[in-house]
Amino acid sequence: MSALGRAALAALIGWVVACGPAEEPSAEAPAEPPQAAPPAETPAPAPPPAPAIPPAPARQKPAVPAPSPAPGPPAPPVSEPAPDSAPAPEEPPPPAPPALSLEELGQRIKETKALGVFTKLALKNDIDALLAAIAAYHERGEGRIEVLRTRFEALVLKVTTLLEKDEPALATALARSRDDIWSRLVDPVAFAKITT
Amino acid sequence: MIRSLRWAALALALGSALAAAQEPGGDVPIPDDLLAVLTLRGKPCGRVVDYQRQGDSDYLVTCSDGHRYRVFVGARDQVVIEDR
Repeated sequence: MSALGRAALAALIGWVVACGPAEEPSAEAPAEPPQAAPPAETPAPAPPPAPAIPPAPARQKPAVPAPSPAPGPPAPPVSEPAPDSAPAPEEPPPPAPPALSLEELGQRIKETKALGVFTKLALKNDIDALLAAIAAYHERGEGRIEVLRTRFEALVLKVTTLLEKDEPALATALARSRDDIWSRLVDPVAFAKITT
Repeated sequence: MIRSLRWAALALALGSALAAAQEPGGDVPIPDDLLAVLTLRGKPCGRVVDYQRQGDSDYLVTCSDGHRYRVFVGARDQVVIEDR
């Protein structure tokens, strides 16, 4: 009996195994559909081609848009300069502080309220000393022009620093006038006309 | 009434003190003026923490870094700075 039973069991197993592939999906259908469906739906490979196509267009699109934006910018710049050029005429005020002559500069420094009495007097001392040294250079060839230029630049820097907080316009005018003033100081004829 | 008078007196005293710290005819406070001169002459100071008027255009200055200077106008209107 046991042998018969084994034979029957083996036959049953064999039958089940033979029918298994077809029955398993149906039997586990409720649980496996989600898992089996994706793998079974090899249509996934089909999508790849689709994504493959999008990337291509995506790459082409950037390339295509790039050229279009490129020509685009040129247009905006052309249009932007117009607005910029419009405010530009309103900016002339900065150039308003014209270069000052040495005499005007001295007068402005005397009149400014941005400097105290001690400071003005100390600056006058420094300016007088520099003018005396330049006079010695012109009249007797004493000293070196490079050293005098360095002293002049240092003095201008000091005055500009003192003025830039409370008298920015005067500080700007001084900075703009620096080269003109030096050209007058270094020219013997122009220097002789300077009155302190 | 008395309290308002006290406030007025206090304000007056404060205004006088502030006015005294300004050079006559100038808008620059004396400590700032003294510090500017010291800076112009390359004297280390930090900031002016105290100054004493010793005479006409003659001040004894105490700086925050411990330096003390006498700043005054000497002969021929020269600004002179002496270390103390």
